[in-house]
Amino acid sequence: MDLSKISVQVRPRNPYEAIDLGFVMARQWFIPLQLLWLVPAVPVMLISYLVFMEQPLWALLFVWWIKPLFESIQLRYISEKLFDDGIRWQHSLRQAHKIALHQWFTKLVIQRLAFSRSFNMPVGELEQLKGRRRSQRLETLHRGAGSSGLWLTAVGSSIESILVFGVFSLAWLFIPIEMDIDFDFDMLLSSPLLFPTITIAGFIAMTLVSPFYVCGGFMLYINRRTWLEAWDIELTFRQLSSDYQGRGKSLAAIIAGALLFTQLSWSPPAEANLSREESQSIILEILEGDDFHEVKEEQRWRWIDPQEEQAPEDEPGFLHDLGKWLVDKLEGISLFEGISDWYGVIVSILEALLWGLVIAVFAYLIYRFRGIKAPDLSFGKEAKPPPPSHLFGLELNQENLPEDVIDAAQSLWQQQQFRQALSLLYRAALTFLIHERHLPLNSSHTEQECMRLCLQHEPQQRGQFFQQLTRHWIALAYAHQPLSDEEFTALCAAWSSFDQEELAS
Amino acid sequence: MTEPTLNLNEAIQLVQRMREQISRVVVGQQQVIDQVLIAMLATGHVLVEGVPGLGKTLLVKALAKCFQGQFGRIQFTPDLMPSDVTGHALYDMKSEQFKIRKGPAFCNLLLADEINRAPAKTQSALLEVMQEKQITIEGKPFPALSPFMVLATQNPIEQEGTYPLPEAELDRFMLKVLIDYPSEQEEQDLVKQVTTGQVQDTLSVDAIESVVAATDIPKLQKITAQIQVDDAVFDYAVRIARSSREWHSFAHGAGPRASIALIRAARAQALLDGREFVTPDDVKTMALPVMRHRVALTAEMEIEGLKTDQALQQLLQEVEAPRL
Repeated sequence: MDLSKISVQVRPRNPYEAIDLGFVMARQWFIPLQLLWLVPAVPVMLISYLVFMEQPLWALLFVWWIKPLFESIQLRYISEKLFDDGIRWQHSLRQAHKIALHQWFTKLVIQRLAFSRSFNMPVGELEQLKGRRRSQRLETLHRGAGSSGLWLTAVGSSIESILVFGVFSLAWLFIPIEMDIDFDFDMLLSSPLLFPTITIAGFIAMTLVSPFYVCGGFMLYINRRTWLEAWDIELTFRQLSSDYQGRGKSLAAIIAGALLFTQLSWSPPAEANLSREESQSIILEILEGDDFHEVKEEQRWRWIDPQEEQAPEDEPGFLHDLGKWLVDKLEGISLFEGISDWYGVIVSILEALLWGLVIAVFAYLIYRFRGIKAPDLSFGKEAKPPPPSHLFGLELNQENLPEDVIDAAQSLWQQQQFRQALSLLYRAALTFLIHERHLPLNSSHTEQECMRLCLQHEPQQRGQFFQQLTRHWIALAYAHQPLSDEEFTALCAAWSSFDQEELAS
Repeated sequence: MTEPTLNLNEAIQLVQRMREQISRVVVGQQQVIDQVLIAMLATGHVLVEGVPGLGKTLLVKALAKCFQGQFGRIQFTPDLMPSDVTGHALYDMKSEQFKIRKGPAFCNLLLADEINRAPAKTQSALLEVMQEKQITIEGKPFPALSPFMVLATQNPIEQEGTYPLPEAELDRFMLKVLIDYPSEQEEQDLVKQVTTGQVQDTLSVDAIESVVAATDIPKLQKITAQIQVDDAVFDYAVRIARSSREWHSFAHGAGPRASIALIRAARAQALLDGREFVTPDDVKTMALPVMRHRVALTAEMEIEGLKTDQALQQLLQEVEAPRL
């Protein structure tokens, strides 16, 4: 690995900037990365699909589980490509089986569900560390960028699921409107097409996301190493060295040469040949030096929770402010000199006064609104509107009816005032139904609606009489067909049975 | 006051027989049958709204069969031309003359299926024949057959790619009838009737006897127009139509055509009920089908989810029944 051949600009970046750079790389080499994924993954997918024909989701789960194997091929390719532009993807593909199966147990079991998998992957794949050394190394790397690696995984898997839904929605869009498919959820779950579709959509999503995930993690790793091993400084020195060497400046060449003795490789920085104790004492010495005791003053914004700022004692803060303000004001007046000694008492008096005010306001409100009843929300009989006094233009007040309705009607009949006679009977019947029987009639009810209501709510005998009366009334009013003398007499005779309250029982 | 004439009684009987005949094949849509008969007696046209497959075509066929009328059907599509409705002139090479080829509108009962699928130009080709009862082809007017009635259908669910009928044309329809799914029992009967001893999927109208001659229909219409209406009932109908114009739920109310249609429909309803006079109940019953396509809900009411029928019911509850 020759750092001077690196194809990106090396500088310490913020982790998210590094991920962004990784995405740029993924876009740059998208096709080779996709091919490196598809060539091994498609056959595996097809075979597992055939094996799990009945349960295609198992095939998807299987491919998902062995995804790190395919991703390590992509990782190897970009790691080589980053330092040597001439590398071809076919070269990585030829070694695919070796790369994929290298540390397969770690990849598929130990590290499979690691939260920042793509960030961890280079440690095993490129540095080839195992066991404790690997975890120590990871710990060092994670100290600065672990959470970003985790977020990369979280966002990657979210985008995968969004893509799965996207593929679904795309399929949905192709259903013609005329088909008017109204899926319900149970039907959808039991559909035989569901799981193959999810499987295919899931595979497509994994294919699309993997280059970005791998490159993002890889660049996070590279960035972390840039921070730790000062690659940028090293590169600058190299640059200086080559410049000065060209011009024959020996001093710079010596400095540069002195700095260049570290050999860069994928392996972690070379360890010095020191015993544990010796190195520990050197470390301590350095730690005690001035470099680690620099005092720096920084200014930052910090959120201060107002609740954390406790008011003195148990009393509300504003009372104290008010008390303080009052005492400050009064101090100035000679009469109240020394009032600050009474500060606590003043605050208590203020509190008592305020509570008194609250109680007084409540008392006033109760006094002010004492006459107003709460709105009646029940749907009882009280909520019904009062009975109408007019119906179909007929006066329906009990006071307006003669004492003896039958007598009055018969006398009108004898005077040939047929319409008035029948009208009187009909009016009396309606008045009785509304006021005595509380039938819920209103002015928009037509005669037949009144009749139907009466038949529904009243005893049969009364209903029948009212039906007959209504029939005669309609014929007279709208068809101008008078009833015969006999019919009128019969109506009058039946009136007595209609008029009786006890019928209702 | 008029004594019920023999003619009137005959008319009542004839209408009842027609109703029975149609009910024999159109199962479970009694209200729709009644309203279509009412429109025919009142010389009106009907706009039927309902999802497909509820027997709209069958109803029209049955109605045509029971008075031996001619039945025409046009399936409205976006590319339908006015001449596809009315007819056109064709140059005959042999006689070296233009011959008029009459369109499907020359019939007694015209079923305009899915009328809102055709653009306004074609829809308005129907306007002339609906209102003037004549059809103009190449500038030459031809009288439409008598009786003539249009039954247009609309599908309430698929609104994409449709041309909503303009208000002016909606106003030409006397009634808007809503056709809904039959009840469970009715649907059972229907399935039995369709599947027993029959090969086709639709009910056949063969079972219907022709009980009226086509020439009797204008007589029936005339008798209907003579049904007695008291001034109070006229007043009630007009008040209903007028109050819809001020009613808070409506952006615009029904015009005078609604009052006219209300009284005409109420007369037919009375005849169908076997009465020789109209009661306020007839008006109230016909208010919904007559008014529901002539009013438009305000935007706020639509947002609140109020339906036109509900708003009309509220209106009817507020309008006082006739004063005598």
